Amino acid sequence: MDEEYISSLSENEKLVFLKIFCKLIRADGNIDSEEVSLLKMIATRYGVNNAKMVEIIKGADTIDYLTEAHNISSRQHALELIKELCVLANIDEDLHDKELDIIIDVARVLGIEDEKVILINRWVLDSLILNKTGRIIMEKDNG
Amino acid sequence: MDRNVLKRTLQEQIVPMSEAVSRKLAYLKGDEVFAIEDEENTQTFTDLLIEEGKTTKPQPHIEPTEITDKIAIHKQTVAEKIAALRGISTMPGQYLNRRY
Repeated sequence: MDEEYISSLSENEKLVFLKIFCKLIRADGNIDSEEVSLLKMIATRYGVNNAKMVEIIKGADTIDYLTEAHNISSRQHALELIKELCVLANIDEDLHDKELDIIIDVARVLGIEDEKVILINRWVLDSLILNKTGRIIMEKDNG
Repeated sequence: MDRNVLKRTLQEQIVPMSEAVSRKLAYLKGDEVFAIEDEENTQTFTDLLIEEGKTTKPQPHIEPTEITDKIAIHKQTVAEKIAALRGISTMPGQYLNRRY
């Protein structure tokens, strides 16, 4: 997925993204070790160190994701956030009801239309399928 | 949009990854059956784009000669109407030839 937008995020916006990601991953009640590794990897992409990410994970219960979302003022950044949330939610081939609640709540707070969310989710799914297909063709994955 | 409708729409977009990947691979290999199914999926995405206003519906193809003919007929019709308004008779297809 396109990551050019990350360089345009402010330091505060990066933390907002990571906090909401953390909240989404925890939506099913727990964060297992694989999910912790995933969050740390994502934090590295955002230029946030491990210690800070661990601090966010530990405080996940207290994250008010809707208040955090209000810190995103640019529509472009809002669209990127929704896109990344859709990626995280779909990566395990299952859309948990609470994950959907978070995506819908954040989208509505940011003024992203429901129809746009549907379009973004469809595009994310197509991208994940295409990416997986490419990995099989290039023999990086057995399928 | 109703929240539950939105949730259901998002959940219905999910296709088992293995099935979707198999279909995409078959399409890339040129398997006609799966190619048709993949085109249907593409059409659905295009429909979403049309609803979003990001593209327009495909317009019927018009041959250039058809357009030229229509313009010529229109010009002829306009010339005849002008002639009629000025009280000058003219044969169809002939332009005005007034004496001043």
